Amino acid sequence: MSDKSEHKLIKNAVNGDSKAFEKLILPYEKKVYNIAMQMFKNEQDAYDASQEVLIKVYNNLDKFKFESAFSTWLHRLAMNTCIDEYRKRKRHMEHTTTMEVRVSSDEESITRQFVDHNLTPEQEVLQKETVSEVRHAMDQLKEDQKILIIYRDIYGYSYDEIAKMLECNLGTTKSRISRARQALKDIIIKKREQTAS
Amino acid sequence: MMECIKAREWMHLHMDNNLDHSNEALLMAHIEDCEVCRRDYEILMSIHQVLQSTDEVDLPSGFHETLMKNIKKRPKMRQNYLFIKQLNIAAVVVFVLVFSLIGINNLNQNKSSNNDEVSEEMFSMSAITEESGEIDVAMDVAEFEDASLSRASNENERSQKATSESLLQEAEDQYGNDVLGVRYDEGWMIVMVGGILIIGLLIGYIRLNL
Repeated sequence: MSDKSEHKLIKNAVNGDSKAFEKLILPYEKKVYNIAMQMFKNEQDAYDASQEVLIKVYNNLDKFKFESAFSTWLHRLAMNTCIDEYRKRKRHMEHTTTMEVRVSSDEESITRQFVDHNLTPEQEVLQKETVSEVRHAMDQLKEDQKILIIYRDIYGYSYDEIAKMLECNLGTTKSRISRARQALKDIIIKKREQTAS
Repeated sequence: MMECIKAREWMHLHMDNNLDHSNEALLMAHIEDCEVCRRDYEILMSIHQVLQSTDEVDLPSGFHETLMKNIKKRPKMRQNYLFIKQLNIAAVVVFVLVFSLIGINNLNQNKSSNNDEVSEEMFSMSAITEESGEIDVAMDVAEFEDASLSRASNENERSQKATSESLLQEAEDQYGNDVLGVRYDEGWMIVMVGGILIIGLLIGYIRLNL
């Protein structure tokens, strides 16, 4: 979709045209859901969070000032909403075990998501182990680091795009992503050392 | 020999395919020699491979329909917001008009009544002065027949002048002092109160960002 037609859809949607909003949002729905899925690791929470993101987009569309690309603005909302929702659920999880149960029930589908299907059975077993290791390490990352890894390393957004989403400069963005990767690696090392001892 | 700190920095560039060939060779040479960096590199690369091989999942059925259903419940709210916004603007305009009209009306009334009162007083004073002038002329014609009468007349004139000055002072005290040619009377007070109210409403409106 060109910027011009996207801008026209935004203006119409702001004036209450729900069909225009539908056209505008349709290309982004799957991506937002997948980002939420990586963040929450369970279908129900990902569903709720991504619905929340898209409703926020609708409610705040009149605040979009056409100063950045619409996708950047939308992903900024998605990032912030996912972090907020994750924190809320984490606080709730401290009191109940519901999330743990949900995560384990979805573990198989998440592992399937990560595994490369062109491997020999032995390689597949090995990779499943690595996937599980990385997945658990991701769960232990701070939410703001986790979302950066999702955007950069899972969905391949450029540093420049992420910097615009974060509204900070390129250097800061690069160092934040490096720190997130380092933290992920350190969690894995620690886990391995614990298992070895 | 490359330092480990530099090697870790380059590992991220390597992951992003942003490391040039000569530096790539240097990094690989360092990894061969340094056990800690080799372990870090292997873990980082395995993380990278796992994350990059993530498949996208399809949207659950009914996702889009649920979203649109949730959104279609809201246009009424948006219309209400628009209505409140318009109502707010209308209220501000009405306030401006009403207070301006009341203020201007009061100003005009006070100004005209002030002028009437002051001019009436001035008219009566000038009549007294004219009368005393006529007496003076009569005295000239009588070629100062009586000097004591003339002194009495001058005293009378001075006392009349003093009376007119005190009356003017009284009028000024009653209707306030002149500041920049504008009197602080009721009209201006209403305009000022109205202005403060309007500014308050505008600030409230901007802050609410309705």
